[in-house]
Amino acid sequence: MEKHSEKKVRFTRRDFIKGASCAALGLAMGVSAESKNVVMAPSGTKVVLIRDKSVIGVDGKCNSEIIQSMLDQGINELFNVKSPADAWNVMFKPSDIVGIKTNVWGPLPTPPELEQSIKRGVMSAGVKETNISIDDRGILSNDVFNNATALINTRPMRTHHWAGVGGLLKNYIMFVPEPWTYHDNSCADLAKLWELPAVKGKTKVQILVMLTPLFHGIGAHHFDKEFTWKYNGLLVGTDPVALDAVGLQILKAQRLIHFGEERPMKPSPHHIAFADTRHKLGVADMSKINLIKLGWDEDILI
Amino acid sequence: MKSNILFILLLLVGCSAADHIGGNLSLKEIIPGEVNGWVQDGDIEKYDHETIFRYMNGAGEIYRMYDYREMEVLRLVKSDQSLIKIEMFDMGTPKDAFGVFSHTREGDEAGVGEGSEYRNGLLCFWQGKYFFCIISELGTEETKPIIFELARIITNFYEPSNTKPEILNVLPEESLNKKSVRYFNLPSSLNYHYFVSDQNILNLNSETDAVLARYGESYCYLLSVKYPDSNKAEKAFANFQSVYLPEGERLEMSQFDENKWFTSTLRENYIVIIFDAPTETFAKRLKQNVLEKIILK
Repeated sequence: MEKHSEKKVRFTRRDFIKGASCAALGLAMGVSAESKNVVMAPSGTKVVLIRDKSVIGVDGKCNSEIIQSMLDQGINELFNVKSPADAWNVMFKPSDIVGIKTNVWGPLPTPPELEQSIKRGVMSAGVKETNISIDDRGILSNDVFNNATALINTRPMRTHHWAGVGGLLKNYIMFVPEPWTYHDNSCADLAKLWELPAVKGKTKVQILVMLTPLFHGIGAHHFDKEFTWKYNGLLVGTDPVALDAVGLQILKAQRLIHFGEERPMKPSPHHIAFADTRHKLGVADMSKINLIKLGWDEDILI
Repeated sequence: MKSNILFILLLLVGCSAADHIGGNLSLKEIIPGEVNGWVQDGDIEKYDHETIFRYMNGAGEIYRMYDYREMEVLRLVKSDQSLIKIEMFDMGTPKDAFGVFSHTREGDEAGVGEGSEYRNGLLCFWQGKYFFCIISELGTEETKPIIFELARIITNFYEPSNTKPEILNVLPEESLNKKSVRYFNLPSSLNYHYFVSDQNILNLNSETDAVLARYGESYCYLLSVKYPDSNKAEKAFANFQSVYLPEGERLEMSQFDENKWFTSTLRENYIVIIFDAPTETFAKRLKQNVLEKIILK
């Protein structure tokens, strides 16, 4: 009896292959249904993909006007409103204290132009500038984050040497003083971060930056421009699991093009699937995500 | 008196390189104050098993999967050039230095130390119990000559080990993808390269030696694990079978998916598992070849 119950909590590669209910896990590991098309099921899990061919210039810089327009369109579609101000007013009230959790990783940070667009949106809801902070590694000693009544989560999507991919789920790891305590099994349980008092229920909108994603890396020194490409997109939504799942699909599609084969990601980014199946934080099953695509559709990959 | 002093000096000079084979090195003694116009910038930093995360965040886990002891970081600057960093990792033993090198290897051999790889301003190599990375901050090709010069200084400073983990000898040569060979001890390493289970169902630990390698054109993996004795191997094999293979599926050969054949076996103190072989024949031949190698040992 004891052995039976012990077996039930174990996950093996075989479980991913066999169980239809584990489709999301299988997708994370690349063991099944790798290239199935997305089914647009009516669902509360809405993800907006907005792309613009010109957002990244030949100099590699982000165009601030275009990124503002992309954000506005994404927010409008997500909240089903005509003006982004209406959406920002729904998300925030003037008394809010708002932490914008960004990512400063040297080779591929959240573009400052996007950070400023987000900040303008929050201010358009009447929030005082002094009650808004954009931060990453200093959030634990940041008064705005320590007293935040609302959060926004934004960062670029990239492959990651220990979690498989670094996306929105992983971006909140700086809310703990010892991030390595979440490293077990390739950061399988990152979704637990979302239960922290400083985080739980506070995130109003999430923006996964897909402008120049990193789709492959080698070891700890994990950036090579050769493994990035101009996708010129933003993913906007409220479910970090769904946003990361869509971002992962796009990375996988680009890897297939680049390598000419379905090369498994190392390590497998199963924390996204576990955020759904184990922690019930959101939806990782692509067939249950309502993906809305706006703008430039060439080489959209999804 | 003079001859005594001379003798002591000669003794010290004579010790400097030879003693470093098994001893501890410091970049301070290896790298001269100036190399082709490049000079040291700031103090050498040191990070141990716990503080490594302060230097490289989660990437520290890669080194901690092996017998990592300590690392040093030295920065070099030259006007109008991008910064160069030398990272020196004390991995405890040559086999762990090889292990961490094998963990990330993807490209062609760069001809430095006992194994190396160069890519866009990043040279990684191992020699003896040390693993090194020399990194140009901007990844420019102009820094390639100084990177290789620094590597030459390092590798000339002490002797190579001329040893690799013994378990590599069980790998059959036929259709082996040599760049895919990974040596390790722990389940976290196995799952990094090929996810098997979120539990340690093969009882991998610091006493076990494991090698994982790709064979053929597809993603067929051979895993071989050596245990301290046959009793421990038997227990691990029984545990693996009970979790990974439901009763009724414990066959000599199984097909789990299209073009994905599986077989596992226990031989003396070794477990051999073949995952995702493209055909039954391929799996049988690979297993036969590896078992022959184990018997020959």
